[in-house]
Amino acid sequence: MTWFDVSSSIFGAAVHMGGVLSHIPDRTSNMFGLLAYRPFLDPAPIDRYWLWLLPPLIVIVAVVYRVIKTDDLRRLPGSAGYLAFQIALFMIVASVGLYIILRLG
Amino acid sequence: MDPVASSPISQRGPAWNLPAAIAGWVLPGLGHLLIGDLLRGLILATAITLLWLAGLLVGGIGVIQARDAQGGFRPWFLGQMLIAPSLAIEYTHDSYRAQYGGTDPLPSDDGKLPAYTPSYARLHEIGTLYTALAGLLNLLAIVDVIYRQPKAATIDATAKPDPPEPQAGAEVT
Repeated sequence: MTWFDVSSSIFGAAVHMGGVLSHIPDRTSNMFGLLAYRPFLDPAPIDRYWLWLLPPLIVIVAVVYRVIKTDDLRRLPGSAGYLAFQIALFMIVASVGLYIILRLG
Repeated sequence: MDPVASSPISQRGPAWNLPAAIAGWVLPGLGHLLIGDLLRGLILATAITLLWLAGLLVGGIGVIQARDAQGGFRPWFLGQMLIAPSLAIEYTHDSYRAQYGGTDPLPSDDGKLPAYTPSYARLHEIGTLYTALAGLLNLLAIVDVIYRQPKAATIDATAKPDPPEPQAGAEVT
């Protein structure tokens, strides 16, 4: 095996690894993004998961509304959970309806 | 005995807890804590503050701004300002923008980090939505605390009178 064979195989492996890594670019870029991330000064690097930010929003809206409306706070978990379910269901139905209207239009 | 304090709540009308309402604007839930509704105040403080902080964490301080790059008023700020600390964040954001000529900072080639990074697209939308909704929910809490009877007054009006103390020398049956 000559020096050229060794170097070309190393180069080939590097090119291959580069190809593998190119399929997961976000992992490496997110690592560097996290290193430079300053909470409250920079936007959180979670733009790919924005949909997961909606369920906590629904829960908090339901809890605050029911805390104000319910006299007996022992009934709060049940009533807030039911309201959160209703909001989520309405949002799903509305999104399906809007999707159908957009597809037909 | 004070005739107003001893009358039923329905005859007294709403309680105008204006200091508690102002306290609730300064810190969500504080108004309820001041009128003695501890559990309700703690739940409101936790939920609304968490939502507001989460919005700032998602979008950064750039989501709270009264005016856009063209100088026009952002209506979302009307909701955000219903929590008093938003005003401090807006002031901080505005002072940062003043360092860059009144606009958002752009990435520089000299390797220096800008004072803050503005958010765009969905992160900006979610951050704005979280902080504005936190303010609107705090408005509900403020209106509620204005009309809510203080806990001590509610207990006084609904509590049964204590049985009379047995007098010394009286027969116990």
